[in-house]
Amino acid sequence: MKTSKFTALLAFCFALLTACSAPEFLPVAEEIGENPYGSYIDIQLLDKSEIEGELIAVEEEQIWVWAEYKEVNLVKKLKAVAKKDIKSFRVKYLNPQPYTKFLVGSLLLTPLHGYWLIYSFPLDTIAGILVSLEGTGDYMYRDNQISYRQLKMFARYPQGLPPNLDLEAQSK
Amino acid sequence: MRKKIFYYLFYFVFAALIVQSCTPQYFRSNYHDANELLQETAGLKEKPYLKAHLRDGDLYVLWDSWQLDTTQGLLLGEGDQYNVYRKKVYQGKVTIPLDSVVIFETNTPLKDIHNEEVTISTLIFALNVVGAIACLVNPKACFGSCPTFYTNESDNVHYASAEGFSNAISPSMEDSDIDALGRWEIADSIFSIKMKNEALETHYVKNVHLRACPLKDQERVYQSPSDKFYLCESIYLPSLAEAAEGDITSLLKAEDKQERFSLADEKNLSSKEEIFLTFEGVEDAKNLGLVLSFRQMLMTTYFIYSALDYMGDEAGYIFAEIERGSDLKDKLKSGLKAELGDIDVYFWSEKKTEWVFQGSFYETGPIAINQQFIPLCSIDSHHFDKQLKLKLVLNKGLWRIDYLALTRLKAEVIPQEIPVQRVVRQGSFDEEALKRLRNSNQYLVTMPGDEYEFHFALPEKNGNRTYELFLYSKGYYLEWMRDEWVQDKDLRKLKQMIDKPKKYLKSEAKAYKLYEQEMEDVFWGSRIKTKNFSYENF
Repeated sequence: MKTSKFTALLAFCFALLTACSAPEFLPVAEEIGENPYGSYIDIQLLDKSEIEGELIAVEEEQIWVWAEYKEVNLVKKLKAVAKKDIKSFRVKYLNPQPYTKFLVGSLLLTPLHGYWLIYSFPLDTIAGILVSLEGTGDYMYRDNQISYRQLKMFARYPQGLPPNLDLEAQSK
Repeated sequence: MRKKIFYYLFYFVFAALIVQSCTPQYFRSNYHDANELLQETAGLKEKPYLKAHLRDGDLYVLWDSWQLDTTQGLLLGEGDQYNVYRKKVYQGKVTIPLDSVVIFETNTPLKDIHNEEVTISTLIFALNVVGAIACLVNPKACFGSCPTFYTNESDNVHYASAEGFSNAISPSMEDSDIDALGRWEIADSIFSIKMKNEALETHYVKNVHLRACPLKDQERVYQSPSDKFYLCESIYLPSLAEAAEGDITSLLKAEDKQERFSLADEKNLSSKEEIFLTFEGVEDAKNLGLVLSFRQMLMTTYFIYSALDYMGDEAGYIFAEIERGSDLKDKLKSGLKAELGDIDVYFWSEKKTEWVFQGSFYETGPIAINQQFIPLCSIDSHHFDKQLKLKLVLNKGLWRIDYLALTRLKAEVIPQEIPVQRVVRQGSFDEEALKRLRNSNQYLVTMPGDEYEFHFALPEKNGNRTYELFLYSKGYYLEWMRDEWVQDKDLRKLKQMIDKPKKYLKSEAKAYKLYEQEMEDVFWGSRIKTKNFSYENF
């Protein structure tokens, strides 16, 4: 296997594994009751664009997202997304770090297995992905599992957007 | 086929991704009314944390001792207050008017939510760590180097009887090697030995034969580092052997694979150490020699792989340069190898009141234990009082010593060369392999996983079938470049290793120590049927 192919395969597996990971501001299971932030929402729009970031508020016609734009540097903007433009969404409310770190660590160790890597790498990848998938349901909702009324509870402001809120000015 | 298996595995994962249906857990509740909250939480043994979202966007997180006073319309408790931007502004006792709260939020504890995943992923990680450490400890099993020979069918790499031409890593570096196999009583005149390619390498074996010396009574034949053979008799074990850590006599008195070794200097990999030996009750100073059973630690293996690592994708070009007569191999011999040195033997001369150099032991390879012999000369018999003092000077962290003794030299002998009579591969005679081994212009080429059994017919002399046997092997091997090596190319480091070995051995000490500690710990832990050894002395 050529280096470039191997690297691409490794990157692909990491991407799959890390797809099941979550941003740092999300709490671990033990701290779910005391975290002051909203959950992390990933919205697919009908025009095939995507918006992701902290769920700020859910209102009658729209959803407010503290959206993350990862172009050159990470830029955050408060973005209103009309419900009618949403194709699908998923909400991550928990950070599953303890076990995904072990799984990524396992993959990183496979080059040290010499030529046994041809067995350990696919086995680790499969086991890792299956374990991640098994855990995925434990910390994520999809749009077919949760209504907008329930989604409100996972916003930073379940009561709606507070008056005179200026997140962008505050974050500078 | 392997490619297909890969595809099947990934199809399986994708199928699992599609089929997988996440089971949602609903753990969060919102209440707009304090009475509703009171009713829902009334029966709970332990109160959950309570979040009170205020109209202005502020948030209170109250710990598990909150109370609702509906008469006065207050929420009382202890916890944290966050402003609208979620900056913590207060911690402690709080009293919140109920009419300022828009939403109350509670969460069912999720403490055990990931137990299964954590257990499984920890197990997977642990297995990977064990695998990685096992490969570091036993590089031949995963990365390998040079052909290994086994006299016992069931032996693993820890008990290899010999390893052939370890230094010969390219055609122009083709080399021969003689390894002592020990004293054997051959029952049916046939002696067999198995050669394995346990590495990601191609081995080019030009010749394999036995060298045999018939023995009488307690006689032994030992080989010197310059490949001379000496018939010897009588053994004098050391009465005292001392190194920096103290008395090591018991470690060196028997050929039991209970070896004395030290760890490398953390500041300089070429730091030397000394072992002082005292022999008492030696009758005569004449014709004595020192027998030493030893092998290398994994330091040289580390350097070989580091060099290939530094070469990166230019390894092929550099090896081609070596083949075209570059002075690189001479530089390595006179540089790094010379800097690390041999095991030098000195005799204490009472007459000169100084240590007198006697000779040096050297053999590359960390797998099989070598046994060599150095005749001692210039021992002044006038000042000899049945006591002899020797000193070994060796590089720290480079050598394992299993056994040493004085013996008395009877004569230099020339062993009989016994060619391979039969080659067996996968249960059948391999005539082609035999033909290649017998033709000095051809090579027996082996690939990873190949095993060949060589049979030798030993002559019987006057009913005596006891022999001292040595295995001669000649050839070279080619390492297969690994992807991970290509990625870590560092030609500057390679140049330093070749041209300034002294500086390299100092600068690389820290990196090697990280590798060494883990490797050596598990090496001893992984070994079976040997006595326990403690690091406490180091």
